[in-house]
Amino acid sequence: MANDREILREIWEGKLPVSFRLDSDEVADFREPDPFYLMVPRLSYFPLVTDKVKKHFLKYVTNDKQDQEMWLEYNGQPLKWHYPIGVLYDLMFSTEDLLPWSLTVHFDKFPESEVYKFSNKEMIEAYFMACLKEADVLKHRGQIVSSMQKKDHNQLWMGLQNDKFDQFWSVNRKLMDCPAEFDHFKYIPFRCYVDDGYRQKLIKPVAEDGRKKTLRDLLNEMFPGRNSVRVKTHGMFPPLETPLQWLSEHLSYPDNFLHLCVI
Amino acid sequence: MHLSVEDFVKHVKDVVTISDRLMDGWALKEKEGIENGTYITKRCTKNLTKPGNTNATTLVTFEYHIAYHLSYAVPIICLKIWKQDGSLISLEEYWEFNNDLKESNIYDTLTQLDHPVLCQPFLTLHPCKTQEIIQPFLEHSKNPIISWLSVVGPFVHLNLLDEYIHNC
Repeated sequence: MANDREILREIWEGKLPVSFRLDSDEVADFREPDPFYLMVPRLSYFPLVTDKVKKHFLKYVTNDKQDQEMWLEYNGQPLKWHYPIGVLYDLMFSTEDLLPWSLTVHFDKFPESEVYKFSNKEMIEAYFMACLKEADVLKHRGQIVSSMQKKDHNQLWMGLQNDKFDQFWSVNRKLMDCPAEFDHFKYIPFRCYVDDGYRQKLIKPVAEDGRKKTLRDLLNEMFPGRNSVRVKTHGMFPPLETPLQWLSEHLSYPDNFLHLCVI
Repeated sequence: MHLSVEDFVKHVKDVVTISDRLMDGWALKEKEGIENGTYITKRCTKNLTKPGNTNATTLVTFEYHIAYHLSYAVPIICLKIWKQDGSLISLEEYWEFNNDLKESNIYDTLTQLDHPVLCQPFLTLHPCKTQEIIQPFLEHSKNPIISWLSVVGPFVHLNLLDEYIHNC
């Protein structure tokens, strides 16, 4: 069970400064709009925090674009906003760049083959719940999520959406619990980001002989024969000796997955 | 009882063999270096009709993918649908053409999820009920993939020819 509460809180409070600018080709006004600045939670998703951004820029684009879905770009790459914000930052932010993280806002030519169309909050919620369910299938054969009531699901979602740590964790702790007869999950829910996507694999937190597996074991299983793999999550490089079970309980994103960016 | 990756690969290869005989268009794809890198795809063009309005039809191209979902240890069906102008049909638009799913909550059954191999957004029949559906077929069918597809395919306008059913 996730006991290091200070760490959970620290992770929850991780925020990033972002500046949003409308693509200059899309400005239909004679004035350039001012950039829009926001501090955004690393654990959230862009469509949950960009309502104000959209409102700010809408009046500067032509009428025919106003109904179109907004999307974001950084260094020529569209942002896959079904990834948590912190994951996008750890994956994409160039070390030569300075904060705030400067993103370009578009309304035209939505890159629909790469980016999800979230036309309303229910769709983001459905996606988030699908991830959470999958994580629970890996950890507890799906038994915890399916035994929860709709109000618990709502509480998780509202906790994330409204940035309420206590609301979220009072339900999430059940998902982070271990079955009575074990002190670990069945498999560790994680995604390892490489190339243009990510890989998953069924990896147990404990070896055949009962030894607790570490992050190093996970990386060896994912990338056999490659020694110098390092992964970044929440903006840091966790030590390779960190036990997987502890990592999963404390450093997972709200979707209950560890998101590990291979550097 | 669960479907293993190896069995999945064997059964989808059989689907492609039958399809080749019928010239039905299923093709085998493989992405190397990934445990569940094998999947099959098919493209076809169809007229979609909105329920209750048989005059209004839209010509669209479907692309179906059958892949293996590691976490759920089940097959998964993902699809993309293009209009003739090349734009994709959204989840909500497709919903309007789909009478079979009307009863259920749209976002619980058909959702946008990442393709298990390509990691790109696809419309996906949510895999959380698949184990229930496929369980009896794992015991009794010669090809559980075909049996499962014959049940869930029609929900996304995918109807298998009888020749497939004879092989399971």
